[in-house]
Amino acid sequence: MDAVAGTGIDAFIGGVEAQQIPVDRRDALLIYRLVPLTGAAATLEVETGIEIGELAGWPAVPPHWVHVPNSLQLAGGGQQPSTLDGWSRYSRPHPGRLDASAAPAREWIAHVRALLGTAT
Amino acid sequence: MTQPSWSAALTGSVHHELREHLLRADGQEDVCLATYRLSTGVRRRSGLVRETIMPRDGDRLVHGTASFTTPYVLRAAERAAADQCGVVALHSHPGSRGWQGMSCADRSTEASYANLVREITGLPLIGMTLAGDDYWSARAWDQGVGRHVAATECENARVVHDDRLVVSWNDTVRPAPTPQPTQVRTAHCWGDAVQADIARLRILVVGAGSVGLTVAIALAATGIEHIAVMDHDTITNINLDRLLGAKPLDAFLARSKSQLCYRLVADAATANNPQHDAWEHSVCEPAGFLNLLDFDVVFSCVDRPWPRYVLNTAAYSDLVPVIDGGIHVDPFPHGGMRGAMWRSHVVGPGRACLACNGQYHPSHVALERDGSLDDPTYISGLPFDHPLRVRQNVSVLSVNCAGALLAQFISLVVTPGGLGDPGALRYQLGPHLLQRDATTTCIPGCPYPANTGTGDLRLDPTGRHLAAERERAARTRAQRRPDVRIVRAGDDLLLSLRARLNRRARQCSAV
Repeated sequence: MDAVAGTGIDAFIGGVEAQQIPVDRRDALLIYRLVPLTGAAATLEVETGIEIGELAGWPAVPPHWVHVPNSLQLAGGGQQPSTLDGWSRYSRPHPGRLDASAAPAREWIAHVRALLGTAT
Repeated sequence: MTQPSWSAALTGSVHHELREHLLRADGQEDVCLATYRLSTGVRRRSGLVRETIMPRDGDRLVHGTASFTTPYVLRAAERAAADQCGVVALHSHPGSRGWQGMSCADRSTEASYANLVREITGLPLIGMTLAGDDYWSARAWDQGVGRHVAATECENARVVHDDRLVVSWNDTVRPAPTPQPTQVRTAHCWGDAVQADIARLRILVVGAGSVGLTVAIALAATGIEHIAVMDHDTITNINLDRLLGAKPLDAFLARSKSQLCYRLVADAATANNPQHDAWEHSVCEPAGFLNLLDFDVVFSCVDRPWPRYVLNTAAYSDLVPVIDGGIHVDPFPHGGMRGAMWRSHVVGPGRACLACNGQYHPSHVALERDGSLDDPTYISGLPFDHPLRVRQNVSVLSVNCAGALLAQFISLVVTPGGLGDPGALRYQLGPHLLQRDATTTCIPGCPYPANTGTGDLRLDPTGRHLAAERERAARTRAQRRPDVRIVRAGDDLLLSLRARLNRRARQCSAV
């Protein structure tokens, strides 16, 4: 793998879109939609976001914050206002290391989908 | 502006591959080509040898000396250009030792392809010679055009092995320092030749806190000529119990930690021609990172995730070995001490990176970049013993951490008994136990080893560092207060007088 091949914002977008998940830009966030398998939002399509500024070092430096609309509350605290009106960001880093040689975006999406499963 | 100097660097595995080909059993000279990436610092450019392109049948002529054919050079140049690399032309002098000058034939061969290669790749041709004693020499054909080209000799060639750093020196560009009477005991430890080699290393200490300050002073006393320190922080009263040599006056005058370190390093220096630098920016800022690329070895004396990520990146992408360490003191909540631990390790190709050996969590880097680690609201929400919150340190123990880093440095560059750096070590204070870290390699999929030698095409780890900017602005404001300016003028005068007397005393003792 070369440094310029699978890194940065474009690599993240490419990785998410490779899983048939469209990514939109809204202000300083990249927004994508996931369907959690459990929790209050199970089977519903939920918008979630990630700060563009956090993706400069992707995947060596994964994002820390997960942004969700205020209509959802994630369990466990660590909540701050998002830069997007009506949204909050939660301190929810990926607990381990992303495998940069495989499909790090897929690992990230699995992490976020699991988080959304804790939503109330 | 001074013309930038040049250096060449390669990993141990690339060195072994080239050595296998170039130093033939029959003693005949041989040639081959390789690609390189540029690593551009402020005052030095380094060619990082990446991939060997071995000759096929008919690609070279071996006839006492050895030479390349044009199709071979073109094949290598096209491959290099496709990979955004330059070309390295390598040959051997099996019967010679030490840094090699160029014979007329060597010069003519390299010069004849220099322009062609630069036209195709956009980068100057680098020539390298391997002597029979494994000593490399190198030059960059970066001057002139057409047939009127000339080479700039590199100051050194660095081989970053899995457990040691072997540097070949160009005595003309970077002469061996004159041994000083003040260094007699030091030189007796490893001999004049080793002393001359390590004294020429360009060493950067990132972080001038309790550990970095001690490291820098010890290096200066050992006779290292070029030591630089980088820290954006200001001395305050809360630092005085850990910064050896800092005075209450330094805190009153809002001096920076790097200024203090610069002063103490200058006082301790035994080199005849010391060249010290002090920078008040963070290594996470673009200017700090560019300065880092001028150095042969970096000491990481920082405790935050972002600078560790930056140094981790440089260790692999730019082949600059990083000697990192840290100290953790574990107090009981209601008084007393449960224990303490300090650790040390070298990171770079062939070793576990700082993320894999647990020195920072990658997701905390984003947290520091967005300013959350300097946000009291965020920090107060963390558990009492969270690694991002714990900042205990004590001078009587941090010198041990500095000692552990310096011992790693000696193993890396002096290799006592032929043994290189030992891998990650940690010392548990309670039972007084020295342990080897079980993590010796990166986890599968770790991006750092995969980016070895990417040079200037690395993913930029730097950015705007608001905390450093705020710190410098606050320091400037504090230093502008009238009382501070008056006292500072007096202190500066005394320091200048003291420095002058020191220089005079040094000259007298040399006589």
